[in-house]
Amino acid sequence: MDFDPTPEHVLLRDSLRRALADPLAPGEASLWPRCVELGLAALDCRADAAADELQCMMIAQEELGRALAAVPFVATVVHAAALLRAAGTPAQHESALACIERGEATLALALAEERSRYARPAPGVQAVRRDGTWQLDGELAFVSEGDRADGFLIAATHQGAPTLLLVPANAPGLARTPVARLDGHGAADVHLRGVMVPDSARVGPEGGAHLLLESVERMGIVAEVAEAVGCMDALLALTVEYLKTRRQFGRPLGDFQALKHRAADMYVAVEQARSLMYFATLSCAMNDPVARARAVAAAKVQAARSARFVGQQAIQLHGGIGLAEEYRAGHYFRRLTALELAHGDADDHLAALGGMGGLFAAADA
Amino acid sequence: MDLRFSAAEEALRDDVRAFVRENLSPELRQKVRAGRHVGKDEITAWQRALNRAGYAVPHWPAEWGGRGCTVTERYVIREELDLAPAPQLVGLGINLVAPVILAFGTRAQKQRFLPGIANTDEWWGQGFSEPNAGSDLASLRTAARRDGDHYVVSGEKTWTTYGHYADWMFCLVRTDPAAAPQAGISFLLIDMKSPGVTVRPIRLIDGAPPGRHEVNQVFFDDVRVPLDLRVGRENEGWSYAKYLLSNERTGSARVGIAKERLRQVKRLAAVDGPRPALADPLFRARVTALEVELKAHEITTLRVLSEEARRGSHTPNPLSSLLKLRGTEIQQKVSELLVDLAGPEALRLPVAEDAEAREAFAALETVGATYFNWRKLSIFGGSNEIQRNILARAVLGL
Ligand SMILES: Cc1cc2nc3c(=O)[nH]c(=O)nc-3n(C[C@H](O)[C@H](O)[C@H](O)COP(=O)(O)OP(=O)(O)OC[C@H]3O[C@@H](n4cnc5c(N)ncnc54)[C@H](O)[C@@H]3O)c2cc1C
Repeated sequence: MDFDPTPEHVLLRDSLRRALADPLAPGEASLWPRCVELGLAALDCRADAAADELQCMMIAQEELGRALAAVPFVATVVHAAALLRAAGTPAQHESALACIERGEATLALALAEERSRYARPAPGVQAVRRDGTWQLDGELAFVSEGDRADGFLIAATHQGAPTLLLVPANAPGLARTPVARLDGHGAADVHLRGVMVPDSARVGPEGGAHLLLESVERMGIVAEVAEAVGCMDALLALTVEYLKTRRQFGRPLGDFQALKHRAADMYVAVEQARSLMYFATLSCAMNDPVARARAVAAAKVQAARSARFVGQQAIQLHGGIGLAEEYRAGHYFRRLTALELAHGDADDHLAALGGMGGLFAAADA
Repeated sequence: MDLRFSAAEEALRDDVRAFVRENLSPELRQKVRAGRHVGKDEITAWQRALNRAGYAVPHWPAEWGGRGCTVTERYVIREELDLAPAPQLVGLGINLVAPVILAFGTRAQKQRFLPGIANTDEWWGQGFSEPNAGSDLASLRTAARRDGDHYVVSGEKTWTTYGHYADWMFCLVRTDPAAAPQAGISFLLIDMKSPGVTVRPIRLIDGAPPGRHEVNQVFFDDVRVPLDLRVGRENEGWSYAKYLLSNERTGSARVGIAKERLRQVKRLAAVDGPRPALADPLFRARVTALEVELKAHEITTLRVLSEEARRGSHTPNPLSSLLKLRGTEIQQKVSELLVDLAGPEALRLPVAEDAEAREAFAALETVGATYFNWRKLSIFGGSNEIQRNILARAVLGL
């Protein structure tokens, strides 16, 4: 057992924290270049990557959560780059993947059909293959970070099975409508009308997107759990600070036992989520797909529940100011809400985990 | 003991239902149902229609345009309107300040203000909270000092709901700085058009764009208020405020609104995509558990109201805290269910007004915004922690 970060991990954490401490400067469009500089774009986040890389992913996400940094790390690195690494051709490695690693391009993974919440995978794009060319038609709603992405990895249905295709954002026939999101991140509705791409744009085998996606989405969940832990940690600190400074009835709010207990419960919730964040991240490295699936589902259940509790209580303990747009607590709350709902909510993962037999074996008869 | 409403009450319910059918346009109804912004003019027009039919102020005495109806009758009217769903009655005038004027105001004040309140000719704001006086309301500092036949008011109020609509504000001010906190407060009616009043918007985390905001800061810079706009006696405003807050809490039971939202949950959960959420045993269990909570709250509300009807006094009722606590918790839970139904897209900012409600899912458009906004329910009107303090002290004697 060892939950201590290595000196390299500490360095990554501290330098990210420093790099993200300052808000966007005038003219600076995104915090992403600062992250690229610290190596985030080049992380290998595949489920079977080196344990150390996955721990870096976890640490990075925690910091991104703490800083509320709206960067396309999950979409571009944890999802798209991992897919390219796992199944891309050498040519794709040299072009798209290399561009991602150098921070020259971001990609978005386009899966969701409009409101297909519980019905995964449900690609909303149909593909027809003719003479070595793919024609794509369909709609993809609410594609995360799709508003600024340079390209999309689209899971398109061909003869009943999904095939992954890399489509540049400027492909003729592709249009996107940016979606305003309450959590400050980007998204777009993507419309495809007779978009043509060559077969060299295919990532992985024909009809083989399903398995690839399952593994990559699972890593996305691990990353989002870590981001939620970072958000919760920062939000708890903000709340505790407020309880120490705000005075009512002639004393600090933190003097009231009801509020002390609530803050303690929030702390407990954060630590439970953190523990399962470690459990999920470290289980991935063990290379047992079933154990991995269980650990990730468990982590998501806990993180989603903790996120809801910590988010709601942080607002409550702040009183009116917690609802003010100009104050930061609400921004954490909204991001936490987005994270708990993304890629299956607590109920979804609870049902899945139950279906896998849970975490502990039954006693012998 | 009898669970049923009387024949007369059921007849009243039918009347309200018929009124709604004839007077509430399908567009407005759909707007309310989908949680979209309802503008000041629409609310005003609706409340005037209610007033013409005798449903705006049924609980007022007949002399002032009411029908002196019982608390149960009033409950029935409100529930029917909420179930429609009709635009939520803005009660700042009708339910908050009017009962105080009726109970403690002068005849001249009643004549001056009650008709305009009943008919929503004038909008009201509630000037209680200040930046440093929230839960600890009695520590408020906005000062009113006498100058001849006027008070001169200086200070700052905050979180004023509809302060940007308000023609008048009922306001707690400190008239005796030397007295104990509760003993030096008076209850003033302030004309928002007076020189020295400034209103500034506060944006909330629900993503509402500027201009559609809900709450405000209000600054008073030597605002002159005639002495005859004080309600009741000088330095006794705290007891009127407590009476008002008790009414506000009972009002936040909002059984009808929770029922209507829960019905929406059940409707949407039955049609949601390829796998209806109601077929998911986990989701269904949560919906059903909430139905049990709501029924318990509904019956509790009716019990408290019957008791209040018997007492019929102007003293605050600590059981109103019970209704406020449960009513707000239940509404928040319903809004969570709606967010869970919408999934990740709950984070989508509400689309523009004219993207019309096309199909069932349109009702999910605003659930995220509402979920974030409704966190206010457990904070305002006396936070839920304060309600627990009241229950522990005033009911349990702890
Ligand atoms: C959307 C919105 C609309 C509003 N509209 C109006 C309006 O129209 N007019 C108006 O006057 N006010 C209005 N309010 C203000 C509202 O009444 C106050 O926000 C509320 O009284 C809480 O005060 P506060 O925000 O200063 O929080 P604080 O009093 O600072 O409380 C912060 C936290 O501490 C807790 N706390 C405080 N004291 C205790 C204690 N003794 N024991 C245990 N816990 C305690 C509270 O419960 C809360 O969780 C509105 C508020 C909101 C959010």
